[in-house]
Amino acid sequence: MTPSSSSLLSTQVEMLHHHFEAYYEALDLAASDDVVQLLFPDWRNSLEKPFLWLGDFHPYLFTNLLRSFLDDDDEDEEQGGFEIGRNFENLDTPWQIAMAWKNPSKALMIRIDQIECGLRLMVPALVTRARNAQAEFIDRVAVDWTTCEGSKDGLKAPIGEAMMHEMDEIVSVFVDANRLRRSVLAEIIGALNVYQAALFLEGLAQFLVGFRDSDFLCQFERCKMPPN
Amino acid sequence: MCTADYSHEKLGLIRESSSAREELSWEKDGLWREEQKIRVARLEKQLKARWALEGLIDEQLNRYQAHYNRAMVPTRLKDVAQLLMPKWAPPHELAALAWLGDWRPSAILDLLRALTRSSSSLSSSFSVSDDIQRLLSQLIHEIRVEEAVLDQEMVEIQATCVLHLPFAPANKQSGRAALACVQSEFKKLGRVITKAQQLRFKALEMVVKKVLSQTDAAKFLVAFAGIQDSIHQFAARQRFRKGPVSVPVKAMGLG
Repeated sequence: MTPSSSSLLSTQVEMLHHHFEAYYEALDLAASDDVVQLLFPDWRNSLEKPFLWLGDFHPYLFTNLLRSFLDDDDEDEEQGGFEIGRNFENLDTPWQIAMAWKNPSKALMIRIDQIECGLRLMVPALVTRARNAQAEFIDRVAVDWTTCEGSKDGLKAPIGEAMMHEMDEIVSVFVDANRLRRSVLAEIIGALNVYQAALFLEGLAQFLVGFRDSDFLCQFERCKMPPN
Repeated sequence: MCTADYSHEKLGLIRESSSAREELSWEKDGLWREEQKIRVARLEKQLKARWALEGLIDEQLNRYQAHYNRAMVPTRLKDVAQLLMPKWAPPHELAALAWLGDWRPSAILDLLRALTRSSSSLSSSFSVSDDIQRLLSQLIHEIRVEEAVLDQEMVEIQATCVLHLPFAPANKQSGRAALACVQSEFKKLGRVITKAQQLRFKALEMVVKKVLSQTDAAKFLVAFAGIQDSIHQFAARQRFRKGPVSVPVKAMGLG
């Protein structure tokens, strides 16, 4: 791989990363308009929906994807591997790409641990905030129900007010969840060299596109639940 | 003889006074029995009303159980998405109080706690002692712990789908094998949904059967259904108030 192709790869990594950044920024912007449409997105298909956490994919997914590249490589080695990874069918694969995950640096492994550690702190906090916002909403509605002595008509305006109050917090939780996704993605890309980052983003993009394969979706839609 | 006469007189007196007493006690007894009958009839009426109330409470609980049970069994893979983000529930309602597709179990208990705290001065108030308040707080804590366990199970599936789905870089599959991978992930999701439904019913059943007296349980079920309906109606009106949001992301010019 020549220096120019390496810098081209670097530009493409940046572009793809920027694409994810722009997507999350657009989500944040739309959230201030109507966060509920983003938490329960109509435009996601039935294969995607169950895997969404606070409106988009879980940030653990990024770290697990990264781990899968590293673990995959360990397996290759255990199998006596200096064979080229199964992801590279083409023998012309540049050496830097083929060897990208061989012997990852200790610094990288420490960095991944740090990112995961941060996630373990942040994720439950977001879940708790969402739950507390719901509990507060219920609390307000219950008080209003008692005040208007069970009259459903009397409850309309107070529900509206309680919901508006709750949605302010839900928007903030959603934006913070996106911030977490963005920061994890940025931290991972920041910790990787250009070849690793390219492979990571390629894998991520292919994974996300996989949910949208129309032929596969057709089969999925017809498929029954396996018996218990 | 004289003695005999005397004794006859005496006997007559005794007979007279005892028959008067008998009459008195007959009368009293009759009255007492009448009153008894009325009281028992009243009690019976109240008991019947209670049994009827108990029957209605059970019926209502069974309806919730049937509702949650029906939702428990996704038959096709795509039903899983429907259960987690049901189209029949407006998104405002889901965002406001849903957890894994329906009312958050701890929110059912939160609702009761808020109702008992806010209604002390009204006739419709719940007669809940301090002990019951403490029990309620403890139950909320326990149910929240169970919710967190299921949250954890769900996150585990959502976080590791990138390893197990057939388009994951580490698990490229096609054809039948690909579908089998998806089936296996959705089976796990189905199990979490079932447990979530069971937890929802457990929270409601605890409130109605363990925490509250019969009358308060009935009051709670009325309030719960009324509040559910009010929130649903409100959220349904919000649904089309705002147009669809747009998330503009420029196509990438790679190449």
